Amino acid sequence: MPAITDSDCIAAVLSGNTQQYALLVNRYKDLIYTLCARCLPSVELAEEAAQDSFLKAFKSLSQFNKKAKFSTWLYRIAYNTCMDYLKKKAIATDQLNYNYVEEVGEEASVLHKLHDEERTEAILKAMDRLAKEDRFVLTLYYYEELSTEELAEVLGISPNYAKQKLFRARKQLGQIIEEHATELINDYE
Amino acid sequence: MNSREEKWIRDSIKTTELMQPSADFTNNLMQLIKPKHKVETAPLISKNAWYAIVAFIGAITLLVLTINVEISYSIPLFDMRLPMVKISNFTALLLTVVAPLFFLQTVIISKYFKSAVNWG
Repeated sequence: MPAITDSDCIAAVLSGNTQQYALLVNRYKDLIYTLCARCLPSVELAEEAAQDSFLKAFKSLSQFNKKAKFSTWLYRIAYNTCMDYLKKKAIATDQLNYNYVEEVGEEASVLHKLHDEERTEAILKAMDRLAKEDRFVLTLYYYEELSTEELAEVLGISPNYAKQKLFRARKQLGQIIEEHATELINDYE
Repeated sequence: MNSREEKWIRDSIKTTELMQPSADFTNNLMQLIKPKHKVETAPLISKNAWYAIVAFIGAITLLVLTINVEISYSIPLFDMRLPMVKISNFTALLLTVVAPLFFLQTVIISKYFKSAVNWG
């Protein structure tokens, strides 16, 4: 049985079968939630933002350009929602980051005995030290393998600016990794 | 960042499992977007029927107020003549208004119970 495409689901939802939206939600919820969690300071807030993103997408589904990629459009909504949350909540995230940086510093030695799980932990911790927007961008770039053009679409900026942003984020991540996980990289085949 | 580091980062992020929202995430969301079912029931008496009722009562009222009604009852079999019963305009008005309303009420009630049976 052929898999139901995003376009099929959207067409069904727009023709009144709103239950089909659950398929889209199930398809993207993990990634959207992960993106939100990388940006926002708590999992509760991330869940709220993810839900908000899907709601916004549902409400403006009729405005979705069918020629565009649904996932990219959804990422853009999630990105904007996260940025709104960060602005609104203006939680003492800097304080959180500051504390965390210290914690990472203390744990630097732990990073030496990493295997797969530890590698994951290391990369997540390294990403946590980046700006929230950069975490979002890098997750999409590495995990979803989005092109610069697609990233530009998600962020609502020009491809050139997206390229610069991506370059800076990758450079910064590279520096953190070099600082704390060089041995890991050397051991990595 | 060299290509080795780049590969390490890419592979590490790729192999990182995605986080999962709460188990009822989709259900909660679908509850929010579920169309609100508005139960629309047709009124038992339509607007036009109400106009007809008002017009009928108005006409009767006018009729009663403009003519005098005298009714006498007699029982021919016994050739008894009851004293003539005079009905005043007011009583006639009451009868003519209350009687149709009474019948209307029975129609409404029967209609209501029929539809209740259908729902059940």
